[in-house]
Amino acid sequence: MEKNKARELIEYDLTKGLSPSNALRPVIREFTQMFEGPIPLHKGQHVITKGDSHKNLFFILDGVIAEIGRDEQGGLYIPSAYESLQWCTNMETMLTGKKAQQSYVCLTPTLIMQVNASVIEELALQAGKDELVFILNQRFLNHVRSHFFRLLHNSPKQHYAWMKENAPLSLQAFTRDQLAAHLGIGRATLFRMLKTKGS
Amino acid sequence: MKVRLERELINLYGLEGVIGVEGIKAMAAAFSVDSICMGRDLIWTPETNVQKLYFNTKGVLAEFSRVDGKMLCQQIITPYRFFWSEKSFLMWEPSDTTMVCLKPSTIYSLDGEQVRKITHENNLGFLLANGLTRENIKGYRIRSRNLSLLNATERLNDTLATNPRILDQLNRNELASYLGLSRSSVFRLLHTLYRGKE
Repeated sequence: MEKNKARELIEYDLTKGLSPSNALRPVIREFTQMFEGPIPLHKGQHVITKGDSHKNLFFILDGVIAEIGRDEQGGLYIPSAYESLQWCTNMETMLTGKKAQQSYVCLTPTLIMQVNASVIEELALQAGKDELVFILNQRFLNHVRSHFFRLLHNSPKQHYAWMKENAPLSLQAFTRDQLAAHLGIGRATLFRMLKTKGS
Repeated sequence: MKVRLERELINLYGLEGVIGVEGIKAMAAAFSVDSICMGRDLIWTPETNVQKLYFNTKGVLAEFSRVDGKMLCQQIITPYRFFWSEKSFLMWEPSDTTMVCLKPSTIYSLDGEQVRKITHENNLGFLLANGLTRENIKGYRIRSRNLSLLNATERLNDTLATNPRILDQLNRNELASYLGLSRSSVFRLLHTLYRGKE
C-alpha cells in the first residue's frame, strides 16, 4: 500500500461524522502527514513489549495485533485484539502512566502506520487541536466498551459467533488457547463449545 | 457542596497546581440540583440524549444495559461521585443504558452546553472530555479483566473488597448481573460466605 493511500484511510477514519466545514479537518489532514509507514511487521513481532512506557500510536492497515499477557497464576490474558482499520496504543501507559503490563503482538503479518507519542502530547496541549486527542480516545473507549459488553452480556457461544461475523481475522489468527483467554473461558470449555458447534 | 464539587472536579481534570483552578471554580459554582431521587427513580433511559455531567451525593445509583432482552448491571455509582452517560456525553450518540437510583440521593448536574461554555471561557480545552473518557476506559478494562480472569468466588471477593457495602446497595439479582453470574451461583456464594463467618 502506498503512503498516501494509507494516510487517506487514517483521515477518513478520523473525519467520520464531522461536517465538511468542521475546523478540525485541516488539523486532521496535518496530523495524517506525520505518520510514518506503511511499516510491515512479521507474525510474532512486538509493537509494544511488556515494560515499555512509550505511547506511540498505531493505525493498523492490515493484520491483527493482540494485547497478550499472563495473570498472577501464569494463565494467558488477552484483554484486546485490534484488526485492520483500528487504532492501537499502549493502554496502560496512556491510562495510568505505568509501564505496559502486556505485550502487543502481531498475530499475523501486519502492516501499520505509526506516529510518535510526542506528536499526540503536543496536540493535547494546543487549543483547537486537542479535540483530535479526544476523537482518538473515543475510538479506544468504543473498542474497550464493546468488548466489555460482550463479556458481560454474551455467552461464550454468542461471543464466538460475534467474532466470526465481525472479527474474522482475529478469530483465525488466535490459537485455541489465545481464543479461550480472549473469550474469558477455560480451554476445556472452548474445546467443548467448538465440538458442539462442529467448527 | 461547592467545595466538594471543586475538589472532585480537580481530581477528574487531573490538574496539578493552580492551572485551570479558576475555570474549575466557575464550573463547580454552576452546578445546580437536578433531582432528589428515591429508590427506583430513573435518571436516564436508552435512546435519550443525556448531555449532562451529574454529581451523586449520598445515595447509590446503578447503570444497566439491555442486550437481547437481558438487563445487566454494568456499573455502580457510589456516593459523592461524578457520573455521565458516556454514549451521549462522550460519544455523541443517544444513550444505550438506564441509570437507576437505588438509594435516595440528591443529584446535581451541569448541562453539556454550560460545560462547553465554561470550558471555552477558561481555556480548559478538552481536558475534561479526555479525563472522563480515560476514566471510562480504565473502568471497563478493570471490569473486563475481572470477568475474564476471576472465578465466581474471586469476583465476589474482589467486588466486596472494592465496595464493602455492595450487599446493602444491590439486590441479589442485580448483584448477579453485575458479577456476570447466575442468581443461583450468587446465592450459593453468599451462603458459603455467611457460613464461613459463623
